[in-house]
Amino acid sequence: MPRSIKYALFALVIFAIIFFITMLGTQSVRDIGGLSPTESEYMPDEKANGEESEDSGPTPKSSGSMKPKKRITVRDFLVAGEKEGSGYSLYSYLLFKVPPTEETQGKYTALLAAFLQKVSAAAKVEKYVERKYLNVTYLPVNRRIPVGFENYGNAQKVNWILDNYNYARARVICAAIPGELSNGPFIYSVQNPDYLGSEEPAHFILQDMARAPSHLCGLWLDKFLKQAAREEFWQRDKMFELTINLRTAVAALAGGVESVTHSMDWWQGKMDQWIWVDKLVASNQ
Amino acid sequence: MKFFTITIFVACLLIWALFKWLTPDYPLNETEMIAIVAVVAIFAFIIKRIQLKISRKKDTK
Repeated sequence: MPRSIKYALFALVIFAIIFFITMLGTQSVRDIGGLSPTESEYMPDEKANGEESEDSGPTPKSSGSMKPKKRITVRDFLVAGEKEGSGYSLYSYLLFKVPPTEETQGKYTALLAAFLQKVSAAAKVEKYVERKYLNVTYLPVNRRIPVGFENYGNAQKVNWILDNYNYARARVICAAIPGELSNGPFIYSVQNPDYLGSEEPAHFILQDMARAPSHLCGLWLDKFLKQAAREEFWQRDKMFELTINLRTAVAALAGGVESVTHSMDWWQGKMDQWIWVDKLVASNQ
Repeated sequence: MKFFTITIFVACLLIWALFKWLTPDYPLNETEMIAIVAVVAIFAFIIKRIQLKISRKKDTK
């Protein structure tokens, strides 16, 4: 074995050891970067009392008394014919331009499931924090949510949203977004909910999740939550963006493994057949 | 096991660990690792060929 390969291998092993030691001793990107705080982080009383269900949480001492260090993302429904609530620090919309197809059904479901899991209902958070600290993310729907919706299971909630999603309103909001758009899904955030106004927003977040595979929708959502939590929400975290792009590229590469394997098997079979025919012809001659 | 195989194994392990650290909630799955091993193996073969050419040149001199 050449000496240079030995040196390279030695360096690789040293690097591996250093990396593992660093990895074990350092916090993950989630902790360093500061994602949108979870419900327990802005409810210290509940955190102290241990885990409690969302609906049976204790009543806070005073409404809207907490002043979080980061903007908190909450969710709400934008019912047809109604306007956005006032006083929020940021207005976001989870937008689907087209109804789900066979190919996109899984992605829509995964994205909505992750969204419902990671983002709390606005009404619940508003008991603790004033609206000026919140980023409300609206889901345009055709009718009001049924009574007891928050007690539904996650899958049941996702199905209800997909059945009642207001695609017409989503397309209207998409029309207000500057630049060319793919088929999405998107998350669009602005400070002013007057999206039909003539003025283009000075700052906005547009997260196009067309490239996001189903199993990484939660990661893409993390990116949005992290960016929206910032005071200057239009500033992008380029390192986190690079990480997600890299992770998505690997997932896209892996997406082709199965079909490439099938096509290679097909060619293998064909080659075997042709060799067998050649041998048969040769033996007859 | 050859050193060459061990090098590929260590490189792949490092890549897996890097992604596990970057995105702890979304580690690489089996299919994604198959794709990564293939890419790493291609790079390793290219490096090995270059090494071989260099050593041949040295031998002829």
